[in-house]
Amino acid sequence: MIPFKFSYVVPDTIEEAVQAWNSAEKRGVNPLYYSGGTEIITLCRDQKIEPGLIIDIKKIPDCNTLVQNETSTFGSALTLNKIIESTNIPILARTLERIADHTIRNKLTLGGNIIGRLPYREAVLPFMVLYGSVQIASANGIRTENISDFFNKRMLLKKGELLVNLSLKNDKNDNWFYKRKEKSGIIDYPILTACFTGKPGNIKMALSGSFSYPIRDKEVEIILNNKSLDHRKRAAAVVDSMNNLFRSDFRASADYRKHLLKLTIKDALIYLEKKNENIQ
Amino acid sequence: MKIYSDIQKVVLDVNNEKRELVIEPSDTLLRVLRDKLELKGTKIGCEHGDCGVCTVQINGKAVKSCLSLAIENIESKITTIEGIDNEPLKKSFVKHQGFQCGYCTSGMIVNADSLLKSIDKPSDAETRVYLESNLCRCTGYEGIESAVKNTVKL
Repeated sequence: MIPFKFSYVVPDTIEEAVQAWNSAEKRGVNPLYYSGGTEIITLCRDQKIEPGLIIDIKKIPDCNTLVQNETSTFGSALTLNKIIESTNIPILARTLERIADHTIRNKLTLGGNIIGRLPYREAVLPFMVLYGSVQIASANGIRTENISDFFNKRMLLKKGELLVNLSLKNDKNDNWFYKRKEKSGIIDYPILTACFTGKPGNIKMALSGSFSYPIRDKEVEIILNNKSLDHRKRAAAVVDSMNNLFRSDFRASADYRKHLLKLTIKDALIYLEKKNENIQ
Repeated sequence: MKIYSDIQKVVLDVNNEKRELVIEPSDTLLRVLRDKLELKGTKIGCEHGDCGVCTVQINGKAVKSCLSLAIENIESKITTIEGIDNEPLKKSFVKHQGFQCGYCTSGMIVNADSLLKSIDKPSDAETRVYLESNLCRCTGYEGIESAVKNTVKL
């Protein structure tokens, strides 16, 4: 049960949604964009947030876009299961199908997972390693930003801005590697989730679960692609370079997470090198 | 743009019946089903989306009603355990001892029914992916899984 009242509006267009937000803000009502609502309802129940107006964006066509070409675009209001069932991008499907459970994925949306408050937000990882971009709507219109610039610990959305959709470029060579580890059972938050794409020498890596936020670091990738080091030394050097970022909690210690990441990087390097040899 | 503020008279399509009722926009679907429509088969559990005892179907898809607002389902078809007419599935739960205390059973059956509607002959892996959404604190998982798998074989 949610222990307070709010108003609820269902805009048909992006313009209506943004206008509803701005007008509520001017009236001193605390507005919130809403789609799947799985996290918002939980936070409302615990009174960690108290919105005065819920703006439900799931009827807005632009937020339900699903286009699959060389560049694929997914609306922020699409549920994870809708994307899993439709996508031809294996690393995206693989990442999304490990988030929460099947019933939750019928409601949890792409935008909701990425903008949420939890540290994991794993849905962003494939977009980080496949040249992702986002479309954002505000009172000034719609603009596009690269994920690499626009996601820094979190989406850098300003007050009232609406995440409309996310795009990524499919890897035709299918060079990808994915690993997720949990403490107990697969329906749990990760202690490490790792997505790798690209050919040896140009491998991209995005991580979640071991840190307070999802991360892709280009400086770290220089070490990851340093062929003068063998796999084991490279993995150790990558982990050393991120040493201060690892979390310790009841799920796993920072040291255990470092150990897991070392093993995962080694496996990913070996797998992607072997895959590339087979393609050639 | 539709606007709902304060108390609203709405019509929900529940188990193929149009039910007129008064709700607040902040009412969760779970509480409305149980407290306003007296559909007590949908159980209250964690109310955090973890346990699955409150599972209902929205347009045929299993959803946890504790994580859904009643007002966002005005144009949807809601099916609760009371509206599930899958007799083979229910009989299979009895035959294969798919329950012990029974508290998780309605959520399990609603979820399993959505599986059988979505996939003609689900594999063991597909069955597990669906059933992992629901907890049974009696740990009677083998009986539940066996009940669902044997319904598939019928």
